[in-house]
Amino acid sequence: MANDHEISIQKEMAKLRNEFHDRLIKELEEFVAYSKMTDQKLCSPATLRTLYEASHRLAGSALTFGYADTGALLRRLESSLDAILNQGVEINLQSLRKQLHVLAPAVAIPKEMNATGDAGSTDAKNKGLSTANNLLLYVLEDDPSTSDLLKIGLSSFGYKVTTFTSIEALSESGLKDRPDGVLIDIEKSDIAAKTLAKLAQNLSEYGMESIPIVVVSQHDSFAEKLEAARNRVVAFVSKPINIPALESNLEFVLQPRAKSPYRILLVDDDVYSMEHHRLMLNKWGIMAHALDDPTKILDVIEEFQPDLMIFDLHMPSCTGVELAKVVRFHSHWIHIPIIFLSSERNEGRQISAMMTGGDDFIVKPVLEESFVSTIMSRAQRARQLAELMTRDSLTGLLKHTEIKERLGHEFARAGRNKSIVSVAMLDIDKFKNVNDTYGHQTGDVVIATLAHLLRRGLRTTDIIGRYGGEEYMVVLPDTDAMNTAIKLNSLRMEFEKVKFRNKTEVFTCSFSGGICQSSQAENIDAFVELADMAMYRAKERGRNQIVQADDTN
Amino acid sequence: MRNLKRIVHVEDDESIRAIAKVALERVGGFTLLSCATGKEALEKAEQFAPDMLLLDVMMPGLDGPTTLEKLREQMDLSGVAVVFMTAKVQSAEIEYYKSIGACNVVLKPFDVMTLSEQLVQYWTEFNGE
Repeated sequence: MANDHEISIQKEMAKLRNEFHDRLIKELEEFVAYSKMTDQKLCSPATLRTLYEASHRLAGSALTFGYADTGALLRRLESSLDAILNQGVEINLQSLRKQLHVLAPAVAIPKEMNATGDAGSTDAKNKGLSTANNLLLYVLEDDPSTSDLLKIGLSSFGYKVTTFTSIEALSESGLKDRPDGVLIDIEKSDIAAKTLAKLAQNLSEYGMESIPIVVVSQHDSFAEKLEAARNRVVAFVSKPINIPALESNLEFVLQPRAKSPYRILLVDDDVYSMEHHRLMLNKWGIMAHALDDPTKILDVIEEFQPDLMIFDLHMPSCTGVELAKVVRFHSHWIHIPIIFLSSERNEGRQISAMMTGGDDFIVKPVLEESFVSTIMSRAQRARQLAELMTRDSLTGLLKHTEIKERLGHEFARAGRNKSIVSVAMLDIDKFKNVNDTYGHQTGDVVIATLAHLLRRGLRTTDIIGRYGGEEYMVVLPDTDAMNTAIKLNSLRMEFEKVKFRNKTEVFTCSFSGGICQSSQAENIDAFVELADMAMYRAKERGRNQIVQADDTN
Repeated sequence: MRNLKRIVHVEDDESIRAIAKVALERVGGFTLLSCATGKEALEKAEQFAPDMLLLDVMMPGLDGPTTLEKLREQMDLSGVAVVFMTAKVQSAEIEYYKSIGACNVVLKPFDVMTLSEQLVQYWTEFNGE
């Protein structure tokens, strides 16, 4: 738990971070100014030397303060200048200008959590529940009505949308706002390849290779998809466009960028080698936790919640293989990949190590780039799978078992800390009628819309799950029933105003809810049941209302 | 072995100096002399009587290795642990720093919350325990 001392350190760090941000913006502007110098001035050894030193210094501090993208761009500039100044490589003015030009202050977006080791990572998982707060999306769409549909539809989910009618217009914009993603409509398959290649090239010129591209297409063939895959497209959505479905797809591919860094648990008895690996990962914005005592692993996994684990194969107290077996006894952690690290080059032994609970094998000494990229791609894949396992595909909310488990954690925690937690059961009124009258597809839109409303309206620390068909469970830590009721009532009133459409008709929906606070329940089962009973009273009293568990009149 | 207490940090970047100050003074509880240039270190280090020198490798003017060389001409460094800070991790490079008298290397970017622990560990190793 954070004590006063830690909190005051965190405050100092926050202050330094703010100051650094201002400095970074200022210095980046200076780099851009250099890009506008005359050839003669820019090429002079004194200027190049100044730039070299400035890029080195700023890269180091940018990375220390968690500006991974900016740091990478500066490092690239530094090494180009190093090549010119110290290795006699001939200067390429155009490329140098470009490298300076892309350092527009807009690149200075800090990672949510960064290499400076912020505490408070326990909320990292919850952050995934937040909506697309201000993610900027470039949409390339030449049909005006589809363009409007996308703009209005996605804006309502919290995206900022900028539309372009051609790839040329998008290139000319210089991508200076640094979008979080690009959505492109592929109408005619014969020009698809060219457009996609141009887009990919554009992004890489501006150092934005990591920005995901999503394709919307009315063609659904293998050839189309292959072409897309060849051009770094990360998601392929078939037409007709269904905004909630598109949004959940976007959320899946875009959010990882904005999300917390990957969490890697390293277990190795050789502290020196472990520290070496930890720092390597750290440098690339990965959060690595080092553990030199394998016997403590179960608690550490529970606490740290890693995306991936790396075990040294040979440790005195137990081997990496044995450790993997122990971890795999816990079905809850079965999805976390385990990578063995060893100087073992014998392939037969490697295979047998992997058969017993491991997923991959890396031989020491590791090469930094390939080590880091292996870990990153594994971790990304694991996170996606974990999301699929724990999240409902229609709403992106937690699934039944997951939300119940999280509720259990929160209930127990409230008991320990003498704090309070509230649970609410929500149910869409007369949902069967919606399905029967307007069809299942429209029903799905209603379900996804309420899910979206809840995510947008509640705090990132609140936990939201889809409990059943049209039933939701919401867990609000540190909140009593009264405040929960106030919040949910305002969401209820917002929801009843939403106009749903199918082809011919416009209609509205409502939901009923029951709330219980932890101090009113003896155990977890009673806690859920009291909220459930309150929800049924809300239905009996005429629906479209919120009832508290202690309101039994 | 005496405890690690007094550290001289030489770093040209002011933001990194500031954050290292938090890491070493506030988190680690050390007494810190923070220098912006190798020259400043040459003027102040001897009088400060450090247990450890923490030197950025690449600085304009006097770089880390040169600063170390000049300090060695000035004062007795036999009981002082020397640690370089660098963004490069190739083992050849680390070996080079060790060959010119460093006991170990801190990689950049460093972790604010654990930098002190790392230095204490280097200090323990330096004293052969």
